[in-house]
Amino acid sequence: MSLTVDEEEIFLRLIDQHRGIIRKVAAGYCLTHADQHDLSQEIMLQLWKAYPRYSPERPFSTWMYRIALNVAISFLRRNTRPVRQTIALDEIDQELADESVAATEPDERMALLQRFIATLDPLNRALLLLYLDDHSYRNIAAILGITETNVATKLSRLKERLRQNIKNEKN
Amino acid sequence: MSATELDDLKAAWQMLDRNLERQNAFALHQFKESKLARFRSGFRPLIVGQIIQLIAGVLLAVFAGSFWVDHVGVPHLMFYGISLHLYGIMFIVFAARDLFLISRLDYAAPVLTLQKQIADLRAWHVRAAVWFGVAGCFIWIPLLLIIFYKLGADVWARNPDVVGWFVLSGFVCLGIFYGIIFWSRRPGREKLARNLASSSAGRSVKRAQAMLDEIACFEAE
Repeated sequence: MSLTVDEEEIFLRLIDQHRGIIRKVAAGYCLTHADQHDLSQEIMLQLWKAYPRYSPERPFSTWMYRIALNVAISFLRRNTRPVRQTIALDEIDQELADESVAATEPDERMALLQRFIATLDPLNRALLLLYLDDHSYRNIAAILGITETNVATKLSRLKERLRQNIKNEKN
Repeated sequence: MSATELDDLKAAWQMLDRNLERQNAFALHQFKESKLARFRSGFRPLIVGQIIQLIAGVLLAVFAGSFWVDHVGVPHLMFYGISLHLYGIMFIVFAARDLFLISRLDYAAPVLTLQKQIADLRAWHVRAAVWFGVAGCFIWIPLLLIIFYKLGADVWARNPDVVGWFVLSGFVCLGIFYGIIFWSRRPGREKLARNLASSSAGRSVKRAQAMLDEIACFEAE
């Protein structure tokens, strides 16, 4: 199904308004700029393909988040060995040191957060990204397809892991 | 962890986004400028691959079907044709099911729904590969015999022992494969077993199963 010129304009405007979603998901699932760029392209492709079926009655950001996360999880699974879905901390440190993100304004909290995100499996990563982006439990449940109670339980465990992680790093 | 610390982390995440906005040449620019056509064709190779398999299956089924229909009453020629005909149908069914599963994938569906569909697709691919592998050990025999027949040599009529050797070769091929797997599982050969398990087929099985397990675990907690 192809879009009319007007529909294309609307699509691009909506994507532009919500482009932060693509950036944040790409940053949450890829360490290097090259990978982030590739993932962003794949997300754009799927958004473009899915847009003819998008219903304006649904919030655009929820729809976009679902697609972005689904693409990112598939991307991560495709580009990661099964026995190594987590990454060694020193490897992440090296990547962060190489990347200009860290170079512009060294922020220990951000580095810590990225290191923690990189140790999570793809589904928990999605959960944490949505939490960090201040989504309600209801919205997170709708995007992930689990119950609100499940969201609350999982987030509480994730926060505990994060707390433990910070404690370990301080020691 | 206190609420303030969590808020700090959220703030750090927002800051990361702002940094990325400044530094990343965002994909939207490329998308806007001239890449629409390329984006539109991005998924064609995947679909084209399945369609080629479907067409190959149809051609094989038609060729083999017409062969055995032309030789009704000659049991061994009918058998060659029917074997290949069934293999062609297997090609069609597997490609059609692949296309159906791929077309059902909806990236706008809730994350767990889509990830389950992808895991099912992957598991199906693995099972299909095993079936094709087993059939592949034998299917070359009727194909070769039909080619010989078309060239004027009815191998079964002239020298049935050759066909027997072909069939034996098929079983040897199958036996070697399963034999290596069985042998590698015996004590003292853990390294070989590990290497086999990480071969492409073993890895695919593990990955498909790991995906399904991970999703089930995430859902259940």
